[in-house]
Amino acid sequence: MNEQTNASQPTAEIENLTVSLPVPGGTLEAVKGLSLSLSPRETLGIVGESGSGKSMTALALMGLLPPGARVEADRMQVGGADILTMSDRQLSADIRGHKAAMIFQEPMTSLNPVYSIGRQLTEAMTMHGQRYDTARTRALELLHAVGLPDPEERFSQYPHQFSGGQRQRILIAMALMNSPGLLIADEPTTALDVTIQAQILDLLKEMREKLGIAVILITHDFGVLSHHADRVMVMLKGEVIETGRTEAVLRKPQHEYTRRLIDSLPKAHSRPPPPDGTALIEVEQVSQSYKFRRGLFSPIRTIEAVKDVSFTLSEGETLAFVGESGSGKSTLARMLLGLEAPKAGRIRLDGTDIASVPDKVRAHLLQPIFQDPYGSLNPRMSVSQIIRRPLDIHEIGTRAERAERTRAVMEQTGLSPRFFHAFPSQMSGGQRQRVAIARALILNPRIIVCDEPTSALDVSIQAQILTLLEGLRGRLNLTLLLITHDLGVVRQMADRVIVMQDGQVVEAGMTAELFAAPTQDYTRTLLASVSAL
Amino acid sequence: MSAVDLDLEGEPPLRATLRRMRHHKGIVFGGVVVVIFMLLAVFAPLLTPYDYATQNIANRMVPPVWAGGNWTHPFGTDHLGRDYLARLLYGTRISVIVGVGASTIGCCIGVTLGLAAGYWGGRVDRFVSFLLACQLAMPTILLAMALVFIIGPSTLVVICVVGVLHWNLFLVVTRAATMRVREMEFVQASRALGASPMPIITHDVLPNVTSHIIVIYTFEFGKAILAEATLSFLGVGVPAPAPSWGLMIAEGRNALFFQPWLVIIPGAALFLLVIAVNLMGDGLRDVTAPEARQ
Repeated sequence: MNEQTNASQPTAEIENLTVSLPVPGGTLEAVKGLSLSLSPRETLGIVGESGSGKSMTALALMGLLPPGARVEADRMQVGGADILTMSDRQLSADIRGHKAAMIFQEPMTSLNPVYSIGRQLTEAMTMHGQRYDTARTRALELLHAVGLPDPEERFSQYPHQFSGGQRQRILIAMALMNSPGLLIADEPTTALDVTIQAQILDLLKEMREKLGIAVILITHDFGVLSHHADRVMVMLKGEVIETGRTEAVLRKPQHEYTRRLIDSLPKAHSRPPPPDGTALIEVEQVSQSYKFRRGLFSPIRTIEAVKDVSFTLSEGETLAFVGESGSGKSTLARMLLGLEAPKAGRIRLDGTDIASVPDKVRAHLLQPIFQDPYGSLNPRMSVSQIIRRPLDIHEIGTRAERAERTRAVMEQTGLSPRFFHAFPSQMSGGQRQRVAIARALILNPRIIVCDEPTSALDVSIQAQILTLLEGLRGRLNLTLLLITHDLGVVRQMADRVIVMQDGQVVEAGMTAELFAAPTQDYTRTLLASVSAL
Repeated sequence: MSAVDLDLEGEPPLRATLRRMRHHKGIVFGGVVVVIFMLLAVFAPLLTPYDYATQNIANRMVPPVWAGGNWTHPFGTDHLGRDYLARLLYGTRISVIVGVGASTIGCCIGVTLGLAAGYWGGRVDRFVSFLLACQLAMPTILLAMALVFIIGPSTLVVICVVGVLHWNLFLVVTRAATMRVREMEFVQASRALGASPMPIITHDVLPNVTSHIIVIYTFEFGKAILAEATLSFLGVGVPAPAPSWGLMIAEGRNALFFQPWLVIIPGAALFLLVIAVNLMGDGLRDVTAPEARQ
């Protein structure tokens, strides 16, 4: 495979690449003077925060930059072809999918839902004049290779019939259809559960070795890099600030920014165990199930989201729920927040059954912080209106008092007063998450339920938000209920952990003990799939 | 808090929106045209010496001044010798009232049902969808004719009938947008705050679906004026001799080949007004959109 590339010639080479994008009021240099060279069987990791130009570099290699973007470079070649001088048509015929292929972050939207996966796989070859039979044989071979069970049977199935991990496998197979020399993986595992992440990354490694391709791995996760990249390139605001062998960069970062990025990874953190407080939340054998039917005449199906879960949350402690998507941890949070009622079992808030706690009393006791700072703020309201909203709903204080309190919480959460009249669309992800925290704090609740509070944020921002939450927890004596799939966050924040799978509690224990000596297989798998540094 | 800090807080949202409106060409143009039409409608008696209903058979079918007519009747006269400028000016009143009135009624019905169906879903949604299916299955013109015929034709009846028959688009669009918005986390945050459905719908959902509603409203505004024209054309609209643009087009149709101005003049007025309202609507959507605040 890939015979045309001889070992001495680099698979891809860029010298002095500059990409400028037109933005309102001028041009933005998304990539500045970037050079790289990649040999067969090598993995280059590009790391940086959103907007650092890492995706733009990848798109430039594919000739897929947005219209209006200007590309200048001394040299840019992929598999021996000079892509600077090629027309869009030539790029489609020779480069995209042939010499270089790309897999994207979101396996849910990268496949066309109305065509079978077989058709989508074979199209990659038949579109370029290959015979269908050849394409089908190749597709089945690759589906075997990427470890999809029963490829022959599932060949004619549609994307919705596959899980996220399986779709990412299919996408990898699709990218490899025309035996490219270069595979660009743009955050290939960010949208997947941890155990699946590890499998996909191992698969990429295996494919690279078997097929002799070069891989560019774009990620913001240093853990992933340390295990899967030979060389690392750190980007900041369009510029490469550091590059070198992975171990060298991670051990001895030369640039201050790299050091900060590595430092901002969540670290094990022990704080004195909180004194035994009163039980604020008591959950006893709670179950939740949903009934639905697909059509008017199809049978009713039941999905059990939470089965027989019991736990207690005492004042001042931080309890983390860990599990993959579908493990029931978010359903649990929704029940505590009063967004749905449990089918069976008892939930007591501060000693009272949750059903008999009035909504507004419950709101004073616990408040949520959600995952997506883009979806959790009303885009039509200004920051001050959003933060003040709880006071409006509860009719607390006069107008002036509400504004005063809003300013106070903004200061507490590190939001500059100039954001008072700003709208969420004018703010960055980290700033939005601060607004969400401010809104949760304004009623002085005793418990904060954080549903994946940092998973939509860049690493360094994530560290800031976690530090903020830690600080607030200490100062306001907050009790935190943390729902996450990120074990790093758990290790930094939580006193106690509950591991969930398929709606049931698998294991529970103090954080340090559970991380050191997990007793259940599932917990072990979960811990093993985390790419620690 | 010091004065400097307050200064840093930026422009209040309302003032910022007004500033953006002044710089939006569509809003400025559309607004000016709409205001001119309003003034013409209000001051019609001052702008023409003629009455819109006085007939003068000896002086019928006078062409407008640019087509060989004279300045006594700048826009000419119709088949009964009524001054066409007077009819157009007085007709503005009726057309604007019908347009605004009917689309407002339709908007209220459709948006209310759409918000309810989208927010509560389930049984409410099924009931509303059933209503919609009934409405879509009904032959509207027939129904409108029957209603007007039973109640008796008047401007108010026409407004109500046209309004009651034009809510389906509002409903469909509002329902879909509401369903999308209600799943967003800020709505759940409000529910976790103990807010009851009404404040959530008015504060969280409605502002996020208004941009869709504005577009449908301006669209329905034009359609309502045309629907009134259709009813007038069939003889069950605004009763003659009261002029409406639709009625004028309907009456001018008989002489279309010999005197096309009878149709072109009210048609052009209608076109200009509908365009202006649409431009204004699109502009309002643009300046209030969160993306506009950069």
